Amino acid sequence: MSLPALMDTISTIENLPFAAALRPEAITDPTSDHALLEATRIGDEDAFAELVSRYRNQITSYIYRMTSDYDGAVDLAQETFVRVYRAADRYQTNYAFSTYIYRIATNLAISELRKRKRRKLVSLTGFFQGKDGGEPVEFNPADDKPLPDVELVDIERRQAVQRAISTLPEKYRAPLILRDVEGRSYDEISRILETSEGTVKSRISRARGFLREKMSAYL
Amino acid sequence: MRTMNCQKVRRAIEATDRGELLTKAAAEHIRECAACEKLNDEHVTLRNITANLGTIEAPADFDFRLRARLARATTQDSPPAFGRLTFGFRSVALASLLVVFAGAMLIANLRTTPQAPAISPAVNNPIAAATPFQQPTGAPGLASTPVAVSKPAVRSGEVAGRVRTSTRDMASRRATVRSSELTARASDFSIDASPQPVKVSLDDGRGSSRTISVPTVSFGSQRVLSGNSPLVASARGAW
Repeated sequence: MSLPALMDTISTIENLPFAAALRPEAITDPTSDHALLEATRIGDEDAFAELVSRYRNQITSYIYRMTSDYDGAVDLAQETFVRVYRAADRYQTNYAFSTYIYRIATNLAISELRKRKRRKLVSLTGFFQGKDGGEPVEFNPADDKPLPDVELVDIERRQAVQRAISTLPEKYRAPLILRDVEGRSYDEISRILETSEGTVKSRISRARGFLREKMSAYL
Repeated sequence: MRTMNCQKVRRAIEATDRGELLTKAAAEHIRECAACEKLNDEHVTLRNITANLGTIEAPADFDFRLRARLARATTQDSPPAFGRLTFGFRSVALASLLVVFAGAMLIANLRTTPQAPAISPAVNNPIAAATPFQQPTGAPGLASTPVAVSKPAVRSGEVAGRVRTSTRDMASRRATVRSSELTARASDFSIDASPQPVKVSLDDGRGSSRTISVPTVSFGSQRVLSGNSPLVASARGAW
């Protein structure tokens, strides 16, 4: 079809062949993440503050689950936002903003875990080799002392789960947290981790198996 | 067969999300198999715990610290020019600097290599000692005014135990030219400057011999002051 003929037939943006690829909320909704980032790009500080308030707890929590270090998680969460701010010009609306920011946070967290591994900053409580031949991981044995209160039991269980998660190899840790703790979809996890959905499902299944073995004393 | 079924059911249990139902076959198997039922219960419990871990909240001063960090990052946005370069550029620049430095060291080393001990005019030539760096008065073709010494004489033997090296800047000075009557003094010396190449014959005593021709070495400009003995005609000249 020639261009003049095409111009005659197209009256709205929905008539374009790639209209489905465009996110309507990015164009219309001024409170969408895309719109806020677009406003940040042109210097609207309030828009960026709104983005930060939307995601600061999620990102801090996610990085904390990955690293088991609150101060370090806060620092990395801030670094995540700094990178978002500085790369606002290069941001493309192909994916959801949450996918984009979680990807940055994941990369920072994994980078931090690797730095720690190089520094040999591991606990002296004990080690064992990962079942799949992965890196040696820290093992925190369960405390068998009876607890007086149900609430304390619940707290102790959560702490044990956090410790058990922190012993998982990073390739299992990130998908498990994103799925079972953060409740992200498989599709989004595969985009965040830049891997296939099948690989994500397989890793999550294996991570659950590892976690159940480590948590057997609490279940 | 039962073990195989258990393995399949275990994989299905591990792949099941929270609130998601197992397939009908897997559910039937769980009702009959106590081990798989226990495993399923554990997984359900674990999934509930992980889902209820909750969100860790960011500190209250998160925004304030982030603003400070952004401001700091903005001010540090323009690092020095060298800091902007990539690792490859820095490597090349560093390698170039090293090459230049090594070349400079080599040249400096060649200039300061120990030279043949110079005959000190202060010792052997009383006239030269009396008028250092000056032209003898009355020398033909030369100005009678003394040449100013632009650089101090090199101090020799400063550090004991080191190889004595000294440099002299001869390019800015005129060569000392002696008059013909001075060359006749016993303290003067002369160099055989034959233009013919020197031939050396070597014989190892077993009949084989070898002749080596050593070409004449030029020491730069030479000036024979005795007018009646030109350089080509005379094999000996005063330097």
